[in-house]
Amino acid sequence: MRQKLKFLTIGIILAGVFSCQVDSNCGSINVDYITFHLKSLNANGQEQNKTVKYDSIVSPQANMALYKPDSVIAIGAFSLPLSPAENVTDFYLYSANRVDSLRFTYEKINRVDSPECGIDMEFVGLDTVFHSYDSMIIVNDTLRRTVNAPNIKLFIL
Amino acid sequence: MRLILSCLFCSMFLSSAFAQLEGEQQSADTTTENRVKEASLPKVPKSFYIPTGLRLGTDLVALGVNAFGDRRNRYELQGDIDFHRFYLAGSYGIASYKIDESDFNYSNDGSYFRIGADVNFLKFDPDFNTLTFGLRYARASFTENLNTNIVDPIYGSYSESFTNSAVSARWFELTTGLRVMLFDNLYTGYTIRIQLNRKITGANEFRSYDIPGFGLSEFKNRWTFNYYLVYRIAWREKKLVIPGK
Repeated sequence: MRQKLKFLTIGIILAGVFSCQVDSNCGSINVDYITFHLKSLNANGQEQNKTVKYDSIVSPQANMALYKPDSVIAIGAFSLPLSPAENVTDFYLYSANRVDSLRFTYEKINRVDSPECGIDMEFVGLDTVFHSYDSMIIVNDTLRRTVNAPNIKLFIL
Repeated sequence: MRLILSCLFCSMFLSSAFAQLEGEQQSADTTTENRVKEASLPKVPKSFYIPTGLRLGTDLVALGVNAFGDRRNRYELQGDIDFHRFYLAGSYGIASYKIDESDFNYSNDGSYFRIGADVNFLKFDPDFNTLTFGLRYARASFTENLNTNIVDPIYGSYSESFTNSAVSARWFELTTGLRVMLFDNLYTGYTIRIQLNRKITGANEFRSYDIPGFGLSEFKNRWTFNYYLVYRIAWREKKLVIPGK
């Protein structure tokens, strides 16, 4: 009986020790960019996809232009990264005949993913302080990879 | 991998538990005569519920991790006191954890306790070996710091510091444990803990990463394992009731 109990104890220790290590795959669902869809309204007031030829998109907080294509092409959906160093990011969107600006505020929550994967950031509570578009809808105020809908719909009428 | 080992682990545990129960059943049901004797046994005297000793021990897994790991430090004192087949059990521990990487460092420091009760399923063991199942309420209090030094390809490099100064966490545990006597009054054995319904409060500046006594806070439910070396301080002998004798 005691021999049996001892073997059982040792077996369980070994199983426990080898199964204690947690695998990490660095698979965060959080992203640091806002996704935009450009929209217009038809005569019936229904949403329609719209495309715009942007010459460049810049942010004063960034070290480089966020979007500067070699040849200007019309785009209807795009994404822009938020600054992780601050809780506000501005964007200036240059096209042939207009300059639009956007200012977003948000809350950033840090999380240690694992020693191997480093820091993961959640951007939540996305809000707009200022924008020059005709209209804008915040569809999702949390930036996640799994969300299929855009974060923002920009309306150009 | 973790799932496979967990299944293996559970099956080992269940087979041992059933083996224990079958063994006891066999000894009690060998003959009709024995069954009659057992049925006619008197109820357990009230004096049996007077504690016979206090078992105090420490977690050897924690000491092993302290010795061979470079991130975690944990010391745990565990104790239980018997009331016949029931045990009042508790543990107290202090723990710290640190990660030092090039782009961030994290540290925490705190303490935890667990309190609860066990039922012993080895009824007639003269050595006071025990196979227990129990419930625990556990609580941890700790502080944690996170310093980041990030280089973002678009927005450049920046550094930040965060402190969660008064974090507390609570959870519940379903436990099972085995204690086997090695020498006089010296026992060894494991406790498996299924930790449930973890809740954290006070982590205001960043998400908690590690909870003393619980482990990684990303899990709401998890299981863990302790291996104890225990000394029993006995102050009273109990005359055992053995069926058929």
